[in-house]
Amino acid sequence: MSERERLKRAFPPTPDSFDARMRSTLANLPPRRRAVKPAVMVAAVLLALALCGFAVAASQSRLLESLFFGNAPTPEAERLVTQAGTAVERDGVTLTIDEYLLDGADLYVRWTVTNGRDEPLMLMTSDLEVDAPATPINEDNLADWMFASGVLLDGEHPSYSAMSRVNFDDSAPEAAFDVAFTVALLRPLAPVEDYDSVEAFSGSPLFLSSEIDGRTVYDAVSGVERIDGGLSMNSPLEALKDGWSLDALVDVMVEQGYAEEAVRIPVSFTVRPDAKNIVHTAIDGRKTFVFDEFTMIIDRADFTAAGVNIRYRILPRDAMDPWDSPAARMWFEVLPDGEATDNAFMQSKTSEGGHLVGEIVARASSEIPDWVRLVPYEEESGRLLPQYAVEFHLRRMN
Amino acid sequence: MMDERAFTQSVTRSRDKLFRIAYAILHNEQDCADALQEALLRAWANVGKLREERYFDTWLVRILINECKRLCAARRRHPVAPADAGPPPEDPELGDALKALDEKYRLPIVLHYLEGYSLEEIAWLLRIPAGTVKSRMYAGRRALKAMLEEG
Repeated sequence: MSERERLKRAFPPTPDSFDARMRSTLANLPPRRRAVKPAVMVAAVLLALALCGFAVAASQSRLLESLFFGNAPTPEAERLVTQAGTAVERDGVTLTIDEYLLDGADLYVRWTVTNGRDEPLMLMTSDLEVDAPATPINEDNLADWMFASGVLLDGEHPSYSAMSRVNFDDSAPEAAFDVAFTVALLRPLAPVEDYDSVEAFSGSPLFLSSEIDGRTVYDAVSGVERIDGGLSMNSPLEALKDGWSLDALVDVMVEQGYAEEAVRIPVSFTVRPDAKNIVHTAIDGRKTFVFDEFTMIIDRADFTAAGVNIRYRILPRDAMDPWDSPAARMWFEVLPDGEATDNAFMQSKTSEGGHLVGEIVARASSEIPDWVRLVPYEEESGRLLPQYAVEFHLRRMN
Repeated sequence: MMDERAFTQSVTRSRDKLFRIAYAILHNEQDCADALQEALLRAWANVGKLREERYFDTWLVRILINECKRLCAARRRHPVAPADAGPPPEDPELGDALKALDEKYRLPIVLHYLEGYSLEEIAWLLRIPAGTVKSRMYAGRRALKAMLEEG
């Protein structure tokens, strides 16, 4: 019996009452007012690229599909997405830069790696490196070196595509800038064990294998220990001393016997911003909000053609451990111009120097707002906490 | 824009999946029906924003998950006596083990291994980073396995 079939049997059958409610709701849908939308002129856009680039039809763009998953792309994003068409082949492995989008705050690049060799290899990738102060952000790349994870490229699945992203510390450069990206394909030497059945051990290199999104992913670990009823994994990343990078990690993994390096492909290309079509509004300086339990600082908030990116810090009162404060259990609803939106967004939190540092990433609304309200809610219960809501205005950056 | 007929057909096709996802959060058949009704009305009111119909399924599931969580929060404030339960699942042991899992582990497992959503899709559905989805799936699987072995 498949896993799916077994899980299905863990649920009761769909009850008649559920079916009846569905049917009666569908049979009595209220009439819908048809909104009149203004006509949209879509101009053909040519972004000059050192190698080549041309506008992509929005319906063909896998990058827009990834960025606007579940929602229609904004017209601005449709104008900005560009097919790069850059392919580099080395020793039977091909790296293709498929598309990119530069929206004034972020650069998104979609790429594909294909293993044409007659052996399975494990793919790991670097961050995008740009010639400007920026922070790389992992979205859905299972081969991101920062997790010491690799995706297996073999006869059954010889190719893998994903998106890499950098968020510029201020705005994206207005002049042309260079982007570097590297992929490494490794031949696994260490034993491979199934993630679900591994037992505690220490000291020797091992790959934990799991299936995610239909792909085999190898996580490199140097030990597994039991803690508080769970397992903690030790990573070869811990051996990195000078500079964290894909190159440094691959060196450590080869040195420690995890793998041999089969192929490494660096690529570099130039991006020329399209100032005419970039729309970017942002918070004007930092904003600070003081509550009894904590202080919240909005460090940045960018609203662009492709997305929303908000970074904040929370400093708990009385120098308590930030993870013990009520703010540690808070996440935020984003209301552009005070309106609820159906756009999905992702949030993450870390701690730094006594602060909680949070990031909210969303896909763009259909209109760039003039101001924003953030309303926190408790993650577990979904209960809104309007007493900690904050608002701030934005200004046009270009 | 999706018309009423297409909307109805798409929802009807997903009936069993919608029930399972709602049940994975609410564990109560009456609440599942309530959440579904609210989700369908909300989706219908906003379907004009959905430009590409092939995203309808995931978009509707996200609305449903949000409605289920709102209902959970409301029930905590004003508990309602549960209605009579319907037929039990075919594998009650696995059903109980799944229910005993923390929701933050249970939902990614159900969405990925039962309903077939990808890591990226689940990250968007649950509004959490893809890395968090991955680690919760791992932790959830191990916890489920441990519970079933103990049982």
